[in-house]
Amino acid sequence: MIATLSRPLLDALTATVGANGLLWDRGDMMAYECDGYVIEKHCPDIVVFPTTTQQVSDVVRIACAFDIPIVARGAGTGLAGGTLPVGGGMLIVLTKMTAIEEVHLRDRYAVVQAGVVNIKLNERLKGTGYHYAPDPSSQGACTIGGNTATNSGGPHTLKYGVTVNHVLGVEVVFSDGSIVRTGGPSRTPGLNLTGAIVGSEGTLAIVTRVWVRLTRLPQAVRTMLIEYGSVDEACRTIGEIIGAGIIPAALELMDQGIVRALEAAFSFGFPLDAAALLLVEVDGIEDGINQQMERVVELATECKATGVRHARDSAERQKLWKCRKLTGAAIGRLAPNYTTQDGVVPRSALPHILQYIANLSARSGIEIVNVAHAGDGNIHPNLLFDEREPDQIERVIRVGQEILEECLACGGSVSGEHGIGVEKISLMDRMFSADDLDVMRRFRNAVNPDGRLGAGKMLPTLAGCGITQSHPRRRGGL
Amino acid sequence: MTVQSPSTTTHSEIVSTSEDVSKIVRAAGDQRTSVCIVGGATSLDYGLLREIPGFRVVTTGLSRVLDYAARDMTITVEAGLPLQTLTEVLLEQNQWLPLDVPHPERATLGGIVACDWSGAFESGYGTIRDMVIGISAIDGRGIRFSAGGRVVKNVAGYDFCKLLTGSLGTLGIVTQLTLKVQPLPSTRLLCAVGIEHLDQAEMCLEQMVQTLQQPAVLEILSGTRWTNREWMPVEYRGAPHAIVIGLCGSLQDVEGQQRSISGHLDTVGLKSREIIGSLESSALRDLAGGSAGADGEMVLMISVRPSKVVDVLKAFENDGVLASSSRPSIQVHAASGCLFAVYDTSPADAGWLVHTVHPFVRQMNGWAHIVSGGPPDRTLASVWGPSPEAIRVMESVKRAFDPSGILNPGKFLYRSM
Repeated sequence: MIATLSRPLLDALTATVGANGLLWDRGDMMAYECDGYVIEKHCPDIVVFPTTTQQVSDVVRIACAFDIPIVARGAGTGLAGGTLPVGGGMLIVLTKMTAIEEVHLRDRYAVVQAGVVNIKLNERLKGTGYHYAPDPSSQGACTIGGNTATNSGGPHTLKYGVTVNHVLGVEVVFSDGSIVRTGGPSRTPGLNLTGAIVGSEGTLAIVTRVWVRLTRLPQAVRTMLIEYGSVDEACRTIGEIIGAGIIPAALELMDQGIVRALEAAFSFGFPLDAAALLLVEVDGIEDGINQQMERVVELATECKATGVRHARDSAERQKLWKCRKLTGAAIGRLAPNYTTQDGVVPRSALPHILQYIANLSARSGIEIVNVAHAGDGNIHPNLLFDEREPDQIERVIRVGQEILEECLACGGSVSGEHGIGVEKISLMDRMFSADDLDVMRRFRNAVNPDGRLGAGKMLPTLAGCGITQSHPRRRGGL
Repeated sequence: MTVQSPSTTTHSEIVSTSEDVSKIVRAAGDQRTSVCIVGGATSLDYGLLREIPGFRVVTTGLSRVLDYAARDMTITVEAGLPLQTLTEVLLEQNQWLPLDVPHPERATLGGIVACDWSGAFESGYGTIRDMVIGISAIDGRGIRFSAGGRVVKNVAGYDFCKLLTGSLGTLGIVTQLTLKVQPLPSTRLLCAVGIEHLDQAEMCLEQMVQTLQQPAVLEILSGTRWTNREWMPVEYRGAPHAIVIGLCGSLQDVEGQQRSISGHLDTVGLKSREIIGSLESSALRDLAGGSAGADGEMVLMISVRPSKVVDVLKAFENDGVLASSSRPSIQVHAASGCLFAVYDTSPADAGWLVHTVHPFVRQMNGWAHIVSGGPPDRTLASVWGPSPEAIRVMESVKRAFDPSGILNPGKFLYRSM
């Protein structure tokens, strides 16, 4: 916490970003007291909106001079509290850095400022035959800088990979204010710092500019929604599809709870007794696409699918995807509050983890509805609660932890795409050994030696410092 | 701390566990001497220095397949497993790792990761960096650490899989890897396009940007050492250049893509011919080995934007900036902009590299470095060129992983390490 916002500090920042580039009134800053992880809230001491990399550098140098911790933030759509200004400090928000600076189709890359909204890049690329492949569900709001910080995924990662597979280079500002570029459109010598900065959740550097790979749009796409009488049969289909050597562009699972929520909200016409839906999309060359699709349907039928809806045209495809992308909105009708977990298991362990979640829900009294990027084994259980009931909050946190511990027991991970943030710090020593975490700390200290960036994120603090890291409890709020 | 070479002897040990590796590194640290890492010994002179006396860790004893989850398309192996052995294991489940590197019967997965080798299939399948999802290694203190995991999607912790790839063993000795594999395509097809002059190559590459899919392989081969191969269609033998296009997928996909490519090539007056039958495998073997040089040869790697590769090739021609008395044969991964120029003999001194090659490539915003061979007076500047922008951070990271500087000292581009 900054003891006082001194006049010299405010003057220095105003001189750098202008009066319109600052917020320091508590009421004005309330929108920045949490991100998509709403269970925990902390108000920053000051919020700064730079518009250029040089301004970011200058602001960081000012923060150094006044010894202020920094958290970088994009659109604040993160779901693990990665942009939570724990203990206050300065929030550097990059949403005003929105230029798509270069597009090179021949070399298949673009250069964007960190605050470019994900979907805006694809709007810009419309008609070129190319796209930027990572498409997190929040792509209408999230920024490419934020995607880079968390190594975002989305539904199409099964075939196209995650953000790190599409970032060729970054320009960053380090904790001393220095501006450095790593990587780029051609292979650069030396250590792959780009690959290590992607997914580092703002704890190594502030990403200000990104060189992104552009990918050819497929010539043909076939999308279908498959209905099942049981989750197990849906999961078996997933295994059979992959076992047949087919890599769908997307393979999304929704359980009965989600189906009912979607029907209540949007009346898509889904059977309410469907235990699970699989949204399957295959893409590629027109010549071979129907054979792929037919094989998927054949396998689904063998696994006792009860119905298949094919998207006959682009409009119907959009509608099928709408039902997947609106799950968040639909869930919002089920309870006053919900939190979305993010865990990964080996694909073959999906039936087990989904049954485990069902049992846990029954035992704990916390209703859980599930979506999953099933092809990757990346589950998103949504835990419903009422934040006015403190007991429910405690149970939600405990149940969330148990789900992730079971993911680890299956040989998986505590995060597939949302990141560690503050939410999952307490689980890092379950996933990694003390030596693993020590080497990670050494690496972070080598790059961010004063610990100014992203303090309290991603890695547990050492117990020897006398600080115990427990799961964040809800503080603040109304 | 300065690493010493107390004598001309090297204590060499074939390790079979990560504990073995750890013990050696600790001993080297105690004795203030170096540790050099050897896998299949296929890339020992990659980088600045050859092995210097001290300890030598030979990883070929770390060669087990630890866990193969075929339905999850992941495999966990010890780092000393040769690529060819891995290929045979995966083939049993109709899967593959789309890599082709020189000497796959000896090249170990750990060495491939350390050198960031990929090969011709990077056009369609990406590089080794995209395939490693879990890693274990021993750092310069002898501490074993791991990152990533065994699932294909995982953002927990720092991505040391990416950081260690291409680090030439200077951050840690890789002992174990988890790799993401692919279903084996049912159909693979190679075609060649004859090129009389390099402007035709650029026309061909521009057309490839518009085809239905990125080809799995897209190579420019320059020099008669390439175009006289027995698998090259007869009408293209002896031509100054050729382009090889590889397509992978279902039969329908490959046929569709082939029709699309032929159509695009027609528009610019070019024709493709299939590389037929069993010769295909020798073609792929030759393409895999194209970045390796024999004894006495120098291999120079140049990386530029893909749209600049033809400009670089032109620079090697008779009156070009990079022309020399010994004209190299060149293999280009055209989709990524990586060129491998193989010279019959190394230049007598490093001056040409320092004063001509690196400045030329840098002014194209590219990078060059020597992969093997090179002049006897190799220096950091001649092998690696100018330091990259992030060199200070790289050196700081190096000190974090290897505080005593004992892992492959002097091999990489760190200044005074």
